[in-house]
Amino acid sequence: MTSPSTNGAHPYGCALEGVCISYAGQPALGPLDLQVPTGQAVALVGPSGAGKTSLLRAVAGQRRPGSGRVLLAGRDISGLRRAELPGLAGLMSQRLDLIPQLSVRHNVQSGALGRWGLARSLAALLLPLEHPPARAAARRVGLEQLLPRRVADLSGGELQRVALARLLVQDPAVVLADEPVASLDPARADDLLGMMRATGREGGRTLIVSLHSPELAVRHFDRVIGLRAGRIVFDLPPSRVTPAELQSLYELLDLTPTRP
Amino acid sequence: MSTPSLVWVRARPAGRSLLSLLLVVAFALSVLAVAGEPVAGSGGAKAAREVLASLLRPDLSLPFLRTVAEATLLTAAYAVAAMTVALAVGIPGALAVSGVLVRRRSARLASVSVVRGLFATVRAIHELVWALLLLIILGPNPIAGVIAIGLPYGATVARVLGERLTDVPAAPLAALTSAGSSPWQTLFYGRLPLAGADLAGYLFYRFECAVRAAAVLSFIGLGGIGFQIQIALADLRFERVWPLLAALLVLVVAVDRLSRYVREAGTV
Ligand SMILES: Nc1ncnc2c1ncn2[C@@H]1O[C@H](COP(=O)(O)OP(=O)(O)OP(=O)(O)O)[C@@H](O)[C@H]1O
Ligand SMILES: [Mg+2]
Repeated sequence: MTSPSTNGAHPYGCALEGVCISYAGQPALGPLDLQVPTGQAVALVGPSGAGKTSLLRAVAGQRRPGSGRVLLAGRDISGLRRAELPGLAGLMSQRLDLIPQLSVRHNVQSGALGRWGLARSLAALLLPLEHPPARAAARRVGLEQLLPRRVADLSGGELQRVALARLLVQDPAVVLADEPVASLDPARADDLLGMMRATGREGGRTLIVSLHSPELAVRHFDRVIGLRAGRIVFDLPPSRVTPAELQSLYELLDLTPTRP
Repeated sequence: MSTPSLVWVRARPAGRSLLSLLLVVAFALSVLAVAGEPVAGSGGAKAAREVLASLLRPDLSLPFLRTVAEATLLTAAYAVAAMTVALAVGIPGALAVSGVLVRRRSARLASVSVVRGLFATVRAIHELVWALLLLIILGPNPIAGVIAIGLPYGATVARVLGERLTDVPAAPLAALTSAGSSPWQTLFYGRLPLAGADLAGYLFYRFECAVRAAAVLSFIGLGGIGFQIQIALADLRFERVWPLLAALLVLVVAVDRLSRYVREAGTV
């Protein structure tokens, strides 16, 4: 599970070149250029509507940019075969998108579906088979005791960890997470981000996480990118993110006076 | 899925005894009304009186109870056979009608509309009409009866199942797909669990309908409860009709119980 991806050798886990995304003609993101070195942990911060989700979905291959290119480990995402994408990038969406009726075990295992044939998938669903990577992922996020539980019966924090474990089983080289701690209390948020960081380091994974809290971004990440109205406003190591920078990032547009 | 018998079964205990009392009173009144009927000589009233009177002395002799038991088992067996046909038609049908296994949108729309039309036609014809048609083709035999029920039921199952498989939240399915899940894998890891215990409940409801249909379709060569009722009526042996009807009720209630048990036990 934690073995580095075969593509880990490429210097850039992911890169965006002139990426633009618009919805029904309304530009939402870009043009955006961004290079993320393999193994780096990046936090995306910015006000609501800044384009964080759009950017993550583009990198995950879930939204084709209107123009520009997305590269994963140096390869253009639009040229990938369907089966290649799950190993290159995986997104944990804000709603998590788990299957509530299934057990934690089956949800975590479903991260492996891209590598399994139908017979294996069915056996794993219907027979009490142990899938070691799923157990290892569950143990890694502290869910081992909960493996047999139905996902519908879990707390918000536990759900986040199930989604993370599923992503660990999928084992993408670039791990993307959209506001993974939005519904967690501060202690659990710290815990989950620390866990993401640690599992990222173990696997040599590139990490891009959108956050609403600049403090968490500064505390847990190598690099903090401020996004506003679809553009990069700042791109700094955490030690150089200043309160003034954050203030201008989150300022309400209509009230914006001249910048301090 | 509330046929009157089920409403009865599901009523709360207090409500149930009140309901029983009301029914007994209503029944007694109706008997009295019939007994006091002035045109006692007319045939209809006489027959009605006999039917009702027979209710007080149902045929509970051992040999007849044996017949009732056998007929009940036979009807249940035909219902199971019909349901098997319905599932054999309906499950592949549901996958075809919903197009959930076809990745390409254009191919999906094309296949879906063709198959949907086909099943709509099969469904439009009631099982009784199917029975008549098959009676002409196959002659009176149990297989004709089983197919007569199984075919239109299969088309109905295809439609309802297909809808339930389509009407599930899209986001969890998209998450599976982006983890590399194929449409077949997504069916088992996403659609079926999301469609949930509902599916089992619906299939049991269909099973219940199949029991009743199997009891009705006796004329096409299905033995069982319906056939025995037919004989009893033809011989004017009304005292035999009641135990047979009671057996049918027991059968339907048993299916309902089983359904509830399965749904409550069910986390896939
Ligand atoms: N599916 C969509 N259809 C139309 N417009 C959209 C869609 N998704 C996003 N947008 C618009 O694109 C812009 C960027 O949205 P996006 O979801 O990427 O922002 P965000 O930074 O993730 O915001 P939040 O912090 O609220 O999640 C917003 O103006 C939003 O209204
Ligand atoms: Mg968002």
